[in-house]
Amino acid sequence: MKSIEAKEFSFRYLHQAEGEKALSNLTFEVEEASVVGIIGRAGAGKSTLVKSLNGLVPKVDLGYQEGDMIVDGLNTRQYDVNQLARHVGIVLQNPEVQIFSLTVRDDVAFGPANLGLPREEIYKRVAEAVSAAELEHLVDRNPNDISGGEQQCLAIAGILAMQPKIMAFDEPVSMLDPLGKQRVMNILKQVTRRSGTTSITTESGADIEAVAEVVDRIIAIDQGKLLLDGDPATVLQDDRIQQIGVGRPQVTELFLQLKKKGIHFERVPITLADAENLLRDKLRQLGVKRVMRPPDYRLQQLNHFGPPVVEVENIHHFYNPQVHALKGVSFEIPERQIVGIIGQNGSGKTTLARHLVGLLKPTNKDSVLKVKGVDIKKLRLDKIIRMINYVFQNPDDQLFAETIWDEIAFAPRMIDLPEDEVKRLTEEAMKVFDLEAYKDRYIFGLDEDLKTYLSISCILPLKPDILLIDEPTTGLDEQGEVKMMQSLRYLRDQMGKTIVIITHNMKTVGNHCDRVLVMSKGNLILDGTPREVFANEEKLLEADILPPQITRLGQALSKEFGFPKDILTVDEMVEVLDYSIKQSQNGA
Amino acid sequence: MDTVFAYRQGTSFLHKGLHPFTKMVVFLVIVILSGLWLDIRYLLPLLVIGFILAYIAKAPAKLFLFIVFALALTWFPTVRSTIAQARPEYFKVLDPEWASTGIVTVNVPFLGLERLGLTYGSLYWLAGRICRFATVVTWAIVFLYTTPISDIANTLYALKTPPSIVFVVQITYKFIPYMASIINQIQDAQKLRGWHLRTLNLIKVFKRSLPLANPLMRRTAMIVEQVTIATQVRGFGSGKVTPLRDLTLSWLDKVVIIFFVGGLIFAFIAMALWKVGMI
Repeated sequence: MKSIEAKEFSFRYLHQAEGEKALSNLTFEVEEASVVGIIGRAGAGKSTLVKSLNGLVPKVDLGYQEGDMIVDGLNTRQYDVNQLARHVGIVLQNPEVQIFSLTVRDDVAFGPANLGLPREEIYKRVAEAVSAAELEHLVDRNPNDISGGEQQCLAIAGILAMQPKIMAFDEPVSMLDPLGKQRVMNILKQVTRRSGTTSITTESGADIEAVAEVVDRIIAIDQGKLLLDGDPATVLQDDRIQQIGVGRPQVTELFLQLKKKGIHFERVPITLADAENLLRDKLRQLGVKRVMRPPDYRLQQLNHFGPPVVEVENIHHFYNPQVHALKGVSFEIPERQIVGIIGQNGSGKTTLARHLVGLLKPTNKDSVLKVKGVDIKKLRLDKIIRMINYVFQNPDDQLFAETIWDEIAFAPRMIDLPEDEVKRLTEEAMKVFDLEAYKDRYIFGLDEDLKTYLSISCILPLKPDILLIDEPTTGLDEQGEVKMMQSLRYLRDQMGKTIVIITHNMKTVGNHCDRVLVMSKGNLILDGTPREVFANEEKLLEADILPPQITRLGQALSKEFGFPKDILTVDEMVEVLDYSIKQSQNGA
Repeated sequence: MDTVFAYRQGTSFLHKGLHPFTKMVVFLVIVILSGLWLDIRYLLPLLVIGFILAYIAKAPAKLFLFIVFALALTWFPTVRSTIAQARPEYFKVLDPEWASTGIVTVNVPFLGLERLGLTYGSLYWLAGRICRFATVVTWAIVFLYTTPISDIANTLYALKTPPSIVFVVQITYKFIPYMASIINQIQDAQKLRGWHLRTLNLIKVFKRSLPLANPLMRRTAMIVEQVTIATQVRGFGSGKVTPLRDLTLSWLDKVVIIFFVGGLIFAFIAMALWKVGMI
């Protein structure tokens, strides 16, 4: 039976010019009890499509609709959003705005209570939803005190308790730590299988691996138009996926590259488990006993950096007597290093970053906090920001000016530099992310990637030697991520900057960082190269961190074939497998 | 991170011992009494009790800076009203002669203003006004820090309050701390770009408020949109809402309610008959 039918569905927002469309002539059907991934780059129209399923588009987000959207047999044109809420539930990206009550139990009950159900029925549904979302042990807890992943599971439970036939998830894991992502996607999959609900989930690319694990169909959209529609393996192998910047799961990319090297498999996998089985079978079939790196393989070394520019020793921070956010953190960062700080939500990463730029002071007296040898605990903020600076995750927290040029020129003007110097510094900052062509563009309505590049460019005129950047790749598609990291490398290599990024994206860490600091519950529990850190499975679990998919593939096969446990990239894995298979064929 | 004006879980008698309805009644009585009385001799005990309860509730001490901040913001109307209290006929309880004894006064012979300035009576009035404001804020802090919004909402539903009103209360209560953290975040993000307000030039002050105002407006609009979506998809506004709990009061709740409501009635009578609380 059809759960969703889009019939030549088009939508234009009120602010869009005539001829422009957020969604254009979409026609597709979704069968009951299936899990469908809607993929496309940021701004492709995924969220608009999700909102059209329960009439939010065009009834709350106003605009012009053509064609029809039929959900659970109901034409969305003919029903109000709260009537459709019984049929279609939506889980948003940000769990914080979806939680209204002060206990997990009450929050799950919020929806059924709004439907006026009898109290016994409400609590029956709450018990079922809480169990499905694996939140039984948290029912009496305050949602503010649980992890980001658990909060998102709570949002799912809140929708489940309303027993909709269709559940739509708008990038549900983009703000979560790796284990949180896995947990939410597992819940999504189980709920669909158990209750026969139809699930729709959107993805821009960074979490394509998590999505590929659970979907049984993928619809790719680009600029509001349907680009590809089919089974996940077929869609993810299509070259157009790369062209629209979404990217593929690392295991899919690996098998496609091995195919080019002449190593053929019966199919190209999209999940880690499938890849593991296929690769194990192939290696056994080829008689490979041991998988190893080529002897001349160059591992990254940690010896080409300058003297320490950040010195942190024994930092403690209490927000209040009950909340001990940093518990004696110590480390040094040498000049020109690219450092990734990782850890689950609430592990102390942001608190640490705020200390490094003087926005917070340690609450203990015997701490050391030096930048370029200067004790910044005693320094005024206007001095600190010219030595070390910090870009927050959400560009909307800082962008305010009319045009891109004005936005970048703001900082040098605030420190009273002469106008010709302001001009020079602004032009220099624009070059880093190639923003010159957009300099007169209005800030309002900028694409997410431009906003992210701009938010970093804005602090460059202050000439800080150390840049801290919170989640630089969030909201970016694969191409955007590559551009971001290339630009950060340019800042390091050409301008001598030291870069510290806070991120949940383990692929970024594996591909681009020289060193990783792992935070867990206010402690620094691991400090080393990405290879050292990602090879330490036990400690990573403690911090709710999962290494990149390609690293996990090697680790899963390390017992039988002696795979190195620290493979970081697809290219490296291809090289290792190619070498090992050739060695085995040569009888070595 | 800790947020201001947010409920904080605790085990104190105020958290666990009283029904939210009882706390709402007590808070309402305090607000009415503080509005009714002008005499600091009656207001001060309410303030002291409020401070003791805030201590028991473990409300952060820095929150009381809000009293100073709010008084600083309202200095102009406060000063204006204070200097207008210089005439003896304004005082019904205090000795008019003592109350109108001038410290610094002037006679303004136009606009019907007559005598303006600082007198013993106007200072007494000012002390009462500050005490009244501090009392209401202190009791509000006690109430907010010890009563979860879900309990307040359930109590309001059980009292048959229209769902739309309950929801506005609920959302306001939840999002005040959230918005406060966003304002802090925006301010910090701009400070990192060298932003400051250190100028006496009013045009510059206006211009420099834009880096805060613009992102705040945009973020507020986004949050409002997301909350609207989140509430609509949770069926809010579909019709009759089921209260999750009944309004069942313990004997202690009943005693507290009778004591406070009785006290309020007595205060009205005492004011009407003996001018208690007036100056």
